[in-house]
Amino acid sequence: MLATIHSAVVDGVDGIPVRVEVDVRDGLPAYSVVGMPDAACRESRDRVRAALGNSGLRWPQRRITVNLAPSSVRKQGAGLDLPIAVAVLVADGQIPAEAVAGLGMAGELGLDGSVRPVPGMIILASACKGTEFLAPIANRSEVRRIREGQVRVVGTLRQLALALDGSGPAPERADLEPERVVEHERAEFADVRGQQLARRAAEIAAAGGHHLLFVGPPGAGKTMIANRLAALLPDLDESEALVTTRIHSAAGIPLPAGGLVRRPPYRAPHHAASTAALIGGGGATVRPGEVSLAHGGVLFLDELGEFSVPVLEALRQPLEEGHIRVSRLTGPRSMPARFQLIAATNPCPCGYGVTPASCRCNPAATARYLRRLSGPLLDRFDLVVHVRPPEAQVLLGDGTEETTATVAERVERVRTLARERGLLSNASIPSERIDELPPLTASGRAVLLHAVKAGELTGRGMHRIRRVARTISDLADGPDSLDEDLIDQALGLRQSLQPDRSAA
Amino acid sequence: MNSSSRETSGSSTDRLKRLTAAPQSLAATLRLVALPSMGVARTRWLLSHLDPVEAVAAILAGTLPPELPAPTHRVDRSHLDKWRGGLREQDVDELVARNVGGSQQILDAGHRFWPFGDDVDPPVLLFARGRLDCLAEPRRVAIVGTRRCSAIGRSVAGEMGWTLAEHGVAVVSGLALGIDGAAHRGAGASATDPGRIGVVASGLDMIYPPRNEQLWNDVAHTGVVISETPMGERATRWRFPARNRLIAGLSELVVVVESHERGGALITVDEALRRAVEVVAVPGSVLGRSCVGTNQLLMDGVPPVRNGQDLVDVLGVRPPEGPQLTIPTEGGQGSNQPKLLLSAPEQAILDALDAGPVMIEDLAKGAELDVSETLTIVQRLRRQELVAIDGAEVAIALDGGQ
Repeated sequence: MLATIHSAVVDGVDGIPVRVEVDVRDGLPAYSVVGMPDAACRESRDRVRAALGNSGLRWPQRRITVNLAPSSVRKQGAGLDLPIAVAVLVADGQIPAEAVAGLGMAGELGLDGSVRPVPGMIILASACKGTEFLAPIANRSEVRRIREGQVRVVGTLRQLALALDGSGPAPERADLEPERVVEHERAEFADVRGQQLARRAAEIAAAGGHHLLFVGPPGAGKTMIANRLAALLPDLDESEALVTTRIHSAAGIPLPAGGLVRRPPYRAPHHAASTAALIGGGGATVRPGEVSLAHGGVLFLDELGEFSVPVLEALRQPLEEGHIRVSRLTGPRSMPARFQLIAATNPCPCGYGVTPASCRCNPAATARYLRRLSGPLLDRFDLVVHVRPPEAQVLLGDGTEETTATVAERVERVRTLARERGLLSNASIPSERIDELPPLTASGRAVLLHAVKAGELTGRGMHRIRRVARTISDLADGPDSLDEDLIDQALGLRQSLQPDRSAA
Repeated sequence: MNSSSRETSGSSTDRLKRLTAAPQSLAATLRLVALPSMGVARTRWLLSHLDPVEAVAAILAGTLPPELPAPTHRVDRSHLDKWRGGLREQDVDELVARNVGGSQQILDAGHRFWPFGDDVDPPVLLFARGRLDCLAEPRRVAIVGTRRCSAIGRSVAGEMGWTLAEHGVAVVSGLALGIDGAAHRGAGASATDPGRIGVVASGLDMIYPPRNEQLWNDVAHTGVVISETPMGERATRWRFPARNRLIAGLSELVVVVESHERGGALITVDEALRRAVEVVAVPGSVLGRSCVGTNQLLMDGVPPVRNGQDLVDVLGVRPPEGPQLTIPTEGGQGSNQPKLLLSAPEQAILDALDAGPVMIEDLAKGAELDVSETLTIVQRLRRQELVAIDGAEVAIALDGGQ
């Protein structure tokens, strides 16, 4: 007899609906899976057989054929265990066929018959066809927000079999459990002692969504500041949170209590990361890379100059477009990748070039080191500041720095202003609105022109300076037009990696 | 002699005739100097008993005459083979044409501007571009130091270069990054500069470091750039110490502005001591890495100098036209510039910078301003070229651009 169950598989951050068809007929006992299963999927036989046995159900000693349709899509992971097991039971006549009509499900089976969570459940639940969906109970908080009333959760295969047989209670609806309100702990900004300039730059970056580059020796606290910067960002709104949750779910990253990624993520991949790890990749199916995992939050690249050049160049497209296109065996995928780039680099190979007289590097070696950071990439940073290790007495003294709560409030206010202007953030003021959103005063215009003429700014850089100046003005409830002082401050926060000519 | 005269065609002889009474001999010397592994010691050894034309012939024949004394540097069969191969490959016309012509000249010990008359370790030939008469300037002072210097060192070197030039002293330096370049830029900003002398390690057409191309051309235009390396050759490692010896040999006084614990400037000092040329050094911060070498010199008994005026006192020179100094306009010494109208915080920041380069945050603390305000003011001062930024440090701008 033939049975069909709806399910789905994850590809990138999208789900692909899959139909699990099982045919059980007389013949020598055999089990075969067709329809491009991967290794984990093929191994489902052993898990399903043991799970059935340990749930007091029978593994049919007959010829079993499992077809995963459409056969053109590669099926990955163990999420098809549950639908295969249920389809086997239906095809064997242990569960009535009507009970599973219109039912979709996904989940991995333990040998004891428990239904275990799989990555990407929120994507699977949305993509799966059918009128109802069954998810593992451990994924409950993740799926509670989608397909209202249609999603139920199960704990064990036996419980499900009894329910479908009519002899047990129906599985519980996912959305009936009250949402737990979770207060997320935020890293404390006051921990960043001294470092006035870096603190100021971090606040502006957080408020305006600007990309920020720290230049400084090891031990200057660059990582700490980047981490605190993410804490200054406001919570993601509902739709952003869902997108980010889907990405994190697809990548199998543990979701926060409550099931929704509400806090902007902070990702800090190591500089040995491959292009695939950073922008996403894999074999036939695609796993989201760090740029996507940082969607809505902060991507921190420490030792920027140590990243391979192809990796850095691959960042340029998502920085411009807010999503990443990855081409794979089975065609191109697009994944969301709108992140705020925070990076850190040494000023030279020895790291002490922040104060030029104590640098031990050959000037040619320093030039070579900085050349790795291509002009186009550097040009995309709105803020570039030099940092140095704080002095011991500052670290030991009583901190008088502002706390996360104080600064985050100002950040939130600037972000709200941006939203009222119809923007995600000040950093995304489009060039066609740049003259309208922060108009320049005559003196402000003169200062900008001077910087362009002196070769310090490109056309793109000029727009970036104006956006940063807008944020500085917003933070201080400053004027609506950008005057000389605001532009000067923005220019001062975009420091050059090269010495001034009059210092050379 | 015969092989050489056969190879030297009429045109190159004509070219050389304008330089010397003995063109054949000069051509042969040039051929020797242009050979691989032929440093100044080996050349001098060869020429100590042979005239250049004979030396070329002997190498081509593969047998050096037995009366030659034992060489000071190792010379064996492989050198002879290498030299013979080199001589055979040489295109004499091309070699001469490349090194002589335009503002490009060759000097030998017989030249009237030859500056190494009584030097203990003179070059065999000198390649020069620019105004040869600068080499005959009566007062010549070398300003040397590290390429990796502090902004203070740079500004001190610039001011010293300018002051010396104002007093009609020719500044000798190596056209390197850092102190060398700053000294020559400073000297070039003076209206009474008698002509700077740049001594380089590479061939005169191989500008090194490329970043100094503008300065190099500037010096070759208003002063002179010299080298003992023929055209077309890069500066190999050993050529830099050799170059430093020429700097010492050209100067009556060597000023070391900043030097790391080891470095080329200290080689120049050794060469100066060998020639009984006086050495002075600029004191630096005891914490600065780029001052370790200079401070050690002071500990070893080298007299200190603080600025151009100290040098002027040491040298006992007076400015060319009366004692009145001209106030430099653009690109002179910062503190002499006519003060612009500055606001109180701007003045506070400039005052805080008087002690030397400062990081933005310390500057804010020193001037009792908040960081944002400091950034704004520094940027404004920078636009007026009153301050300059290097790395994280802000400093008083001194030489006002290149």
